[in-house]
Amino acid sequence: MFDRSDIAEAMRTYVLETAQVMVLHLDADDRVVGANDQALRVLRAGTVGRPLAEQIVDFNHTLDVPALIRQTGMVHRLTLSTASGQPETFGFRFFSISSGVLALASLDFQEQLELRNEVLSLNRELNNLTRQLHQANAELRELNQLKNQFLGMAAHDLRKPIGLIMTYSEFVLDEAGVQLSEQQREFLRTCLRAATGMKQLIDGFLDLAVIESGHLRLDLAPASAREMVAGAEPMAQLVAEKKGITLLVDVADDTRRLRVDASKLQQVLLNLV
Amino acid sequence: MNQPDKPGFVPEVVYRAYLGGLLTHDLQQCHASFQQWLEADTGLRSTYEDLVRRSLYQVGDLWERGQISVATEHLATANSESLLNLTYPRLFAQPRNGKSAVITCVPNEYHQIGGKMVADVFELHGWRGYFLGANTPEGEAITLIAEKRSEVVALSVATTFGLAEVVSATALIRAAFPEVAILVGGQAFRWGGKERVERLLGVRCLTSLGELEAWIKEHDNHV
Repeated sequence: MFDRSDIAEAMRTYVLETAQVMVLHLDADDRVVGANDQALRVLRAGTVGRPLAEQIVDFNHTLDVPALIRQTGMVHRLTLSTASGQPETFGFRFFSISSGVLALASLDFQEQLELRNEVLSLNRELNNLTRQLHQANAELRELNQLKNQFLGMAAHDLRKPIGLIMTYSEFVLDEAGVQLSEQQREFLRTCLRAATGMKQLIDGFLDLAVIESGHLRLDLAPASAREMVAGAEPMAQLVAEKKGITLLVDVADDTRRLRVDASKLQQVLLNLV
Repeated sequence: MNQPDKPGFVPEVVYRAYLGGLLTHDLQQCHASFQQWLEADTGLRSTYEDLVRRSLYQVGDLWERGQISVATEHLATANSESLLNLTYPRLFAQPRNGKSAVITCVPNEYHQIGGKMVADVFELHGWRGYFLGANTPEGEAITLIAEKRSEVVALSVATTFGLAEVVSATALIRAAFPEVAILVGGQAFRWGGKERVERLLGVRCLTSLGELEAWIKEHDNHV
């Protein structure tokens, strides 16, 4: 049969030295006067010597700690600052002893287990989502490339017939314009305007496809601001005159030349004007 | 028979530093070793097999011998899985061949890192490797196979307890897609059982990423 004193000694040794249970000895004023190894490892330094009430995290001062300490038949959830600096909630049970009060406290094992499983599950989910995100981005990049290829091919194929419409409309207007009525000439001019507009649209698509595919080639050469404006001016003047607008050009007298794609910058200027 | 503890091409000093980081919960150390190995550019398969798989098998052995807790083992797995994310910017930027595989862990199988590495090896070879995750009902795999018109489905099983689920999943997938190749693998076959599973289920059982690579190359050459 069990020898009760042997059992008591074994349990005492286990609880004081090994068990994941905190043991605090409180005096009659609820001051901590002793602690086991686990409590000294887990709680902040200076636990022994201070009243337990001062060590409990209670921002709103709602807890009547002395009263709780005397409710010996139940478990109280109390939060203490730990050595890591983080607060932690322990299940406390108080026992009245001849030299004061014995407080035994431990973490909620079930809660810790659930927390760990939840964190691991969230980590798995996060990693899976990260992988899916990388995969989805890769698929979107592929689709975007396909879209650009299609756009480039379609725009390229449309340019040729539109160019023919423009060429023949201009040719008929130039060569046979005198034989046509004013209404017929206006029809041809409308065709020409519409085809020109469509060609600009297609050129824009082609530029977009090239830019998005990352293959836009810049034709870099030294040019000054005056040269770039001079290159764009005749076209802009033509458009402005048709609309009855007077275009004044005033470029600062700066002869510095930069390595730029003058043609692209002239296109930007024309779009702005 | 698989040789799980056979050292690969990872320098022993890198491997030891990585393993030490896993066991002491030092993710920064693991990150540095993993990154160092990736930058050496000796291949993703080697990183996965000789660094990640070898270390996790060793962590599992330490747990079985009572030298580390199950919590440390779980944390080591979680940290290893997070490190796989470092490979993705390069892995997913590779050219595709239009083929795809669905990789899934059978129901009640919560070890997913092996299956994820399988999916990544498919990606490495130009396939799309769609990974469904841990504990996935067979129905989700069947839906995804149909949606992606996948040629292959790979079932990952880490413990022998999951073999019954493999039998059931194999039957369901085969009934729905008789032409889809079924691969089975995972730590459950670490100590054998490969031939028996292949004979009984008529599937290919692959016990290492190297075997998977060989199978992919063989498949690509035949199609």
